[in-house]
Amino acid sequence: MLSTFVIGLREGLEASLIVGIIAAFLASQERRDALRWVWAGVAAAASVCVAVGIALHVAGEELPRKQQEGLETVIAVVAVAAVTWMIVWMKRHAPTLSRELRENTAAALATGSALGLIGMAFLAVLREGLETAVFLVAAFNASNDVASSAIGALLGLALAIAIGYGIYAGGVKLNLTKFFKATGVLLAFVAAGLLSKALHTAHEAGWWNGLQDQAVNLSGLFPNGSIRATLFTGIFGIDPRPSVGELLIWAAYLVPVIAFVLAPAKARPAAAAAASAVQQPAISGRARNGLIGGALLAFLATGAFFATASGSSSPAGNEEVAVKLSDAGCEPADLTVPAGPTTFVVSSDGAKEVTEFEVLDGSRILVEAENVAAGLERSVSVTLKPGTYETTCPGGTTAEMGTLTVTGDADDAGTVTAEDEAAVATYRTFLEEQTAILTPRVEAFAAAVKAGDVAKAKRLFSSTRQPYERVEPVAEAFGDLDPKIDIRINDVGEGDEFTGFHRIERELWKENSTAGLDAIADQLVHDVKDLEQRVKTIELEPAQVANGAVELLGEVSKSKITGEEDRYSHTDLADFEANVEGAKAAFEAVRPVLVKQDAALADLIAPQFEAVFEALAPYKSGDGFVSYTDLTSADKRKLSGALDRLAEPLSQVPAKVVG
Amino acid sequence: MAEPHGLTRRSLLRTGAAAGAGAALGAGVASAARGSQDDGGAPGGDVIAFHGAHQAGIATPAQDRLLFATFDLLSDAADDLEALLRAWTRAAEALTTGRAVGTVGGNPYAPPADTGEAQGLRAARLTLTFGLGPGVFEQGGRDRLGLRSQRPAHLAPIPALPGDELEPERSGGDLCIQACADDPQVTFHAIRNLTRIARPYAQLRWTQVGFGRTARTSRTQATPRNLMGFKDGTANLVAEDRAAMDEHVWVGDDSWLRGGSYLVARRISMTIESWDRASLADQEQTIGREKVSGAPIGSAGEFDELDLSKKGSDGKLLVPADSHVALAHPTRNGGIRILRRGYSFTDGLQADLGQLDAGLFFIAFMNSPERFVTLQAQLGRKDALNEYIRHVGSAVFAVPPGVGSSRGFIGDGLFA
Repeated sequence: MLSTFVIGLREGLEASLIVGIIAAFLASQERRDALRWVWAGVAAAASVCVAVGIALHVAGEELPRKQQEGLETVIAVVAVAAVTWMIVWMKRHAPTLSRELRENTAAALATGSALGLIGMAFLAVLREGLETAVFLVAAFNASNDVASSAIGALLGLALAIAIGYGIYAGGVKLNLTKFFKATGVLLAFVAAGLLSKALHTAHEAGWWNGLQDQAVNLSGLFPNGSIRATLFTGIFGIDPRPSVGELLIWAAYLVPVIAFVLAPAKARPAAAAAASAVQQPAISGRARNGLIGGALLAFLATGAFFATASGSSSPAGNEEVAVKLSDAGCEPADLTVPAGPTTFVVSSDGAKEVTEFEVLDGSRILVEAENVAAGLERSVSVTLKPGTYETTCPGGTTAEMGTLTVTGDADDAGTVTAEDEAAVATYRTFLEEQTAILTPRVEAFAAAVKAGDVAKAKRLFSSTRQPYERVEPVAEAFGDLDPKIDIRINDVGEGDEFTGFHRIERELWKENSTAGLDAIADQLVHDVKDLEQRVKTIELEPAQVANGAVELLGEVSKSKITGEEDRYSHTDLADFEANVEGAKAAFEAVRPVLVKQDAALADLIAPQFEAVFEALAPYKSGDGFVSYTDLTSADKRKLSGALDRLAEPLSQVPAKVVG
Repeated sequence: MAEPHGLTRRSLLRTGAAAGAGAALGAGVASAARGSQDDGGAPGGDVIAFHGAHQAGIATPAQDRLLFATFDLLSDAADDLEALLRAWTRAAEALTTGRAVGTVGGNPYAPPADTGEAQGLRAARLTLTFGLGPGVFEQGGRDRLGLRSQRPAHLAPIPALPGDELEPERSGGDLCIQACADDPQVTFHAIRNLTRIARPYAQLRWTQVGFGRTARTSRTQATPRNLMGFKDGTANLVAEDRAAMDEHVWVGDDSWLRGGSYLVARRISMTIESWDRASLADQEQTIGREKVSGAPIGSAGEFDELDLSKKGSDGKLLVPADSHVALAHPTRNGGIRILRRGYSFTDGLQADLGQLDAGLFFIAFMNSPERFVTLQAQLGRKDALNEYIRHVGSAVFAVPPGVGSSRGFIGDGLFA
């Protein structure tokens, strides 16, 4: 509040002084009629300034947080530059200010130009106003309490206008030199604080990472959030717990500027007057250009943030983010992280209804942590690209949904090599092939179901599913699709409809009927077509492809080797084979990337795929496999062992190909 | 069974136990500071030194918990076995000092090298005792790994014995690890991670949890009770009796096994429900000791000398000739003694009968398994206890000597 009050008072006073002097001069020249032109200029300038202020503020608000920090940094630096220039200029010109103005006004009057008067008032107010706007936006950014900051600014402005009017009316005598010296000192503190804050926001924007050790900790004297702390920060412009860099830059600015402000004026009045009479228009012009240039710069910078999501690269190390699940939902609901490998460490405060954390890109689940109960901590990792994502903690009351802002350079997500691209392209081809095979198979299967041909539908069931089982992790990435297509009965929530393959499976084998399945069959066709379309635009990285392979084997271990997947048809071995085939395709796609990192691991894994297929071979029967119920414990154990021997080394692959 | 293709020792060490090697140095230092475990005395703290002339977990005072695991070798290459034993040794050095076998945190894209459930737990006197089954040296008459010439003199599958009702899925195994500690999570963590490290060279064959010790292997220990409610192991060998240990437990020949031993494991299922309906007198006559005091029937103290010829006022032997202690007594078995180190187990219900699946997981160490065969041949035929027990699992392993330094590994004499 204090800082904005000083800004409002100081800048407002400068503008009102200029306007007051012009007005007083006009009055003395019996040209009160020209005053309305002056007011018009003032109004126009004030509107422009308010508009600029609002624009800067809104632009800042709409930016993702890290880019906001960047914009705040730019604004703060511009503001500091402006105020510094002003302190210097005022010190030089305060003694001669009113005379220069009178001369200029007389010149304008002499040429009879109302436009000249409007122009003078407009420019005077615009110059101060723009400074004020930039400065206030910066000060608002630096403040925790916007309301009191706004009140401070308004009070300052009001006082400034009152003083300006007083001077105009002739009732107030102000020693401008002393006034500007006093406010100059205060402003120096404010500007030093802003500079220090700029360094802080630059750090948060990821532009500056040096000197981040805490220099001193005065929070004992100035407890966080206390009035004392507010006053301290308000007066000295610096946080009670500054980093080394923040303290250095604060002092580096403050000391010379205060020394300059307090130093006795060296300007020789006559020479200064003579010089300023000549320089005044030039300086005004420069000031105007500078300020407008500064504002433009800020806008350009804003544009640049939007356009390129720029920001220098932060270290590509893993970012760890703690998320707590509570009854409300996710805490914190809104997260900002730099692009790149990110680990979410999800814990619970004991919330009963909220046990899951997901990061969504549209409707696609990027990463999720499930079954996080009290006392448990689950870490899930993903490589995030810059952008805005949704987070959700299903079942939360007030914070079920949140946002995840990923800042920084796309390059932070790892350098994409030609091998990476080739790996993804290879897998993408497989993905598109499989979903393209899936659609007609499902159509034929659905047709049999709708025609009531139970025998044919049963015959088609397992081979129809196979392309889906080969690419299942990708389908799972589209959060809503996999449940519709492939949900198992025990996963169907209360009140949810049991749809997809397994619904049809149940009716076919348990009821030996297709009754009531028409809509389910149509829906399945629709959903796999949807999948076929969606995979065309999915973005993949080698690590995701490799992770898909690991997940496919996880699927086999969890639901195929246990016979849970196809509990009615017992065609689990066909799914088993398809999962492993899918994993192999994914592995082969990333293999060139892997070989560059760890050729021995690649050599270890490849034969294990063949070993699994060999282990499956004895159970082939016709087009498919023997019923899962025909397997003995020893058979299952052999299959399970072969799978483990493949899955264990395969689980090392994603880390190798993450780049 | 799938054959591993082109597997190398290096890749195993890399994928499995690289981190364990890092911890080995620390383990070596720890063991040096604590001295060797030769005499089996109770060390201070809760770390039992891994290094020593004998493997720990034999003469070590019996810990409270057991997890016993057996493995089938999947590779017929001796190099692979050597690599596995090296990797296990390095991991065991870390685990027995309470360290992880690798990082739990670390690369977010890789599965953690250590599974993590022992983080924050102490070593809990963990010992890991490794054994090699007969299948390592010969399988189906085949010199499988080219190690047949190295087969320990007394290592052969336990022959069929009277009263056996063995289940193949609870019997045998090419390798075994006996993990004992005072914390069941510590034993679980150890076996779990060693199993992981073993892939793809060996896979688990069967495991057995023991929830409470039934043996006293040191004079410092009180005699625990088995699930029949009787004190078990009163007359057991104790580690402090070094002469007896040398005579009965440690292998003393000049083979690579010198300083090692043999481990016989038997899963002995108790018909708990019938036992609980037997009268106290019947129970005591079956065992040959008094239930509450543990004293031989007719004697006062637990440690009173067992007099098998003492008769009661009715002229009958006080300790019946077919009682368990009488039949197992050294004087009836040519002076044979073994070091018993068994644990009580329960694996829930026998699904088909709805009765408790519980009993004694018998582990014994001896310098020849023939000692056990002699004892059990007698017990299996005559023991009154047979009415209440069934031997359902059986395995035998040669237990290599201890690892002297962090350069050696379990069974290194075999590859010298």
